[in-house]
Amino acid sequence: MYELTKHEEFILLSVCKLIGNAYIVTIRKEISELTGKSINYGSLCNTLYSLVRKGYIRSQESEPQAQQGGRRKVMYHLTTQGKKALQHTYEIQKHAWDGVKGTIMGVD
Amino acid sequence: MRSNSKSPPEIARWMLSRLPQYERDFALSGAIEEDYLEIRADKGLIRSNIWYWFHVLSVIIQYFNFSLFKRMIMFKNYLKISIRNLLRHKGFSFITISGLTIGYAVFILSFLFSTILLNYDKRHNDSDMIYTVVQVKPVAGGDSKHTAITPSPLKTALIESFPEIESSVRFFRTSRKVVSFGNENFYENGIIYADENFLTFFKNEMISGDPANALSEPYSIVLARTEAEQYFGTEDPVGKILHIDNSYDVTVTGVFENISNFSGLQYNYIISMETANSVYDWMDDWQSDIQMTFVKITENTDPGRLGERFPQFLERNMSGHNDSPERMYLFPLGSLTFHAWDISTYWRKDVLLPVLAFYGMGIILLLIVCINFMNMSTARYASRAKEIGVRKVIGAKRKQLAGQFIFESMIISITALPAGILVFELIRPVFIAFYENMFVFSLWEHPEFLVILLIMAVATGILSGLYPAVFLSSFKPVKVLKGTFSSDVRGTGIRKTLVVTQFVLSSLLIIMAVVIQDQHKYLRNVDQGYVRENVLYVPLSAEMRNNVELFNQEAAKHASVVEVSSSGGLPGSWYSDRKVVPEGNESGDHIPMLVYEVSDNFINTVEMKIKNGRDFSVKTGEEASFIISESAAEKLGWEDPIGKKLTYDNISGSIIGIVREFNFRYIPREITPPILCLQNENLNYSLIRIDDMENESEVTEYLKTVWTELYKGIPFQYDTLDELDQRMNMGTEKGYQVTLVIGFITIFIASLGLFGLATFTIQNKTKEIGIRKALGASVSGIIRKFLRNFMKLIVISNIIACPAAYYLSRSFLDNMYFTLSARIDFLVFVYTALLCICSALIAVITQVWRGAVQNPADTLKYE
Repeated sequence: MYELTKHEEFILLSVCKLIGNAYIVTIRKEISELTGKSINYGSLCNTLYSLVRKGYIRSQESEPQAQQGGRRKVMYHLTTQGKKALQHTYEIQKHAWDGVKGTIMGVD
Repeated sequence: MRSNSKSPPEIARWMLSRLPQYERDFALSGAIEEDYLEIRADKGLIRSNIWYWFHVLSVIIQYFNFSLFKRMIMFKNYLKISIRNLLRHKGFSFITISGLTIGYAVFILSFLFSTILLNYDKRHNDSDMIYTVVQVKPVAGGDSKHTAITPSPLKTALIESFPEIESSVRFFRTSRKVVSFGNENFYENGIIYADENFLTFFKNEMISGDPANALSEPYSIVLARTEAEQYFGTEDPVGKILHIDNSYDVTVTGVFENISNFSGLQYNYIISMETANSVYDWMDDWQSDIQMTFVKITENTDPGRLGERFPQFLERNMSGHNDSPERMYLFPLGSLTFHAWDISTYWRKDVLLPVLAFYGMGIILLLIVCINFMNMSTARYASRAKEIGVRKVIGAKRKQLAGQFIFESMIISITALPAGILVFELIRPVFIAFYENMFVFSLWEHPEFLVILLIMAVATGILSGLYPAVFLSSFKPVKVLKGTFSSDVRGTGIRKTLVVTQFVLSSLLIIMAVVIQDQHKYLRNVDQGYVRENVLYVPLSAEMRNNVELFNQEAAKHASVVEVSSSGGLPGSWYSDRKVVPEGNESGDHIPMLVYEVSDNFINTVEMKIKNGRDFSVKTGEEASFIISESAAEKLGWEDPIGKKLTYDNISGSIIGIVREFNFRYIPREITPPILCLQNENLNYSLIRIDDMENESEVTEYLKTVWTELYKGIPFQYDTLDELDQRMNMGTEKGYQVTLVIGFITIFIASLGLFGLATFTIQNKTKEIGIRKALGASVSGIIRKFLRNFMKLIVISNIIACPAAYYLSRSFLDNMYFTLSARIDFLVFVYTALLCICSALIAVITQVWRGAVQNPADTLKYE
């Protein structure tokens, strides 16, 4: 039910990290920092759209900016559903790696 | 706003602005620009621009991905609903899909056949650039004639004078020759002489031999496959020798695949043009019109402009004689079969009208099937009303709804296409056999048609889906879901009009078919001034033409032979326009007449009737005698024509009698008076009247014996005038049958549609019927009421159809058959009307009856 694709997971995490400053440009930067690979605006938009449709994030127009002739940015915030989805993903991850983490990553 | 020197590439920016939802949802353009400016400051102009373009393109591509994805989700739903509907209403589905299948199959047949026929002459390489040279020559009396038959030296002169002419080829038809190999000899009609590039200029499939040089040596011949098998069986004929007319030999240098009947130019043998230099003496003569000359012009040449330079050419090469051409022009290859009526050619001339009619039939059937579909979809609106209501309530816009229904009808339409092709493949061999294998064609030889068919299926789907889509999407959800909807009567007006249209079209077809049939019967029975039954004919060859009397006398000795004579041609297919100069017209003013050269016993042999004067007696001396028809006498204008002199082609003689009006042409295109002329020479056929066709084989056996004794080495062939007539009329006969079959199919489908319509109408009116019955109406009264409604439609259709059909048939007949067009029998309309009424009655009666006997207690239960 709360299944997330990798892309979706990263976007939600970035939105979480960038509280208050999560718009499309920063999200994209954050993801490239996280994964090391850059994502193009097209697919980013599509995924954002479907995340909004599923109700995991919500969008809100910001105040007019000082630069770029007073343009409003579209800011994203995590919703409760989104938070639940991330929790779910983390749980599954933890469950899946449980007991195997040592073998794969080596004992710290 | 001043263009900032640091703004991103304009074009890409503009492209982004074409997608406003990205602006709404993400404030995208601003966001990307912000990013861009950072990169620009960091990495410079070029790299940031490339970056910008990359991302804008990614947005555009992902947009298509996404919206298609959205649509595909909806498609899945539409597909599911369409299939569910089809399965749930099996009757509807069956009627529509089978109707479409049949409609497609017939459409494919008519479209494929007609298009192949119309374009067959264009199959050659660069056929757009190929033209034949036509001369316009003066004809005494002020007229001119157009002829594509030109002198032999024309080809070289043209190539030398006009660099735009890439290449040129000539060919001509010879008269019937005797071709022999060993002991076999046959008359052959399809012999042409052609230049060595003929086989590459025109597309010919060579089975053996090299097309490039099979015709380069003199005394070479290539033959068609059937002829090769006829002489040589399965052996390779290359290298073998054939004798022509017992006068010269030719070596076989190749075999080509038979020329399809679709082609306007028919030939079975090609002899190399080099041979003609030795065999004929007019190859250098500018005055002898023998060859058809074809030229291939370079791509950018305008044939009209080229033609403007012909007058100087004519002046140089072809002037100075009485019948020098007034002018010359180029005539396109593709028009030779159907559009060259007034030009003399070696091409077969076909009429466009029946081909167009065949096209029309396919389209009419398709239309009727579309109408069925439209009616079915809209009539059962009641069953879809709830679905539509719900869709609208959850937010479907009208356009989306309409789109869904158009999608549905396209699914059905395209599904029916493979079925249609399958049915076509089934009926194709029947059709080909029907035409006695004269026209062999296949859909797979012409793959471009598959594309056309796909387009047709899509168009049919959209067209027939349009009206139901608009109709169904207009329902108001409140009404539907509240339940007050079903008391509405919707769309009946249009449906009625559509049904009427269907039956009008069907009636038209049936009437046309019957009219053609009547015409056919008329042609076979009309009095042409002679009797063709019981007459055999034997073709005579050149050597024996002057010895014919011997054969005729021997033939007459047989007990079953009644009369024997000879003629220059065959009544029923004899064209002989001459210029006849009547006595007293010294200035050479002539009257065009049909001069038929015959031997003395001709009139008795074909049982013509002499009205004035006397019959021919055996010809003695140089003077000819004429027996003229009544129309000729009128044309000549003499009180008593008997004794007056006539001259044609340097033959003079006096008129000795007047015969009852006759016609030896198949379809007379203009009114030219015919006359008979007594001759001893140039008679090509012996005509033998026997007492009874039962004795035919006996007589022909006898004749063959006589013949082979008298003329060794000359083939004996015979046929009857009746057979000739049947062959000439085969087109009409077949045309009638095809039209009739298609007509029946149309009525069947229209009635099928009516059946479905009746079902749904009754369904929609169950409540009304229930109420009527509850209030005391009788079953028969209900039946009568509904029947009357349906029959009214049929009657209206016929009232509309009859005058239209009459007008159409009349023009069709007059156009095709000129003075020989039959009168249209009034009964045709009555029969067709009856047919429609019966068929509709059968279609409707079961449903009406079933509806009428319903128990009101059951139908009125759910109020």
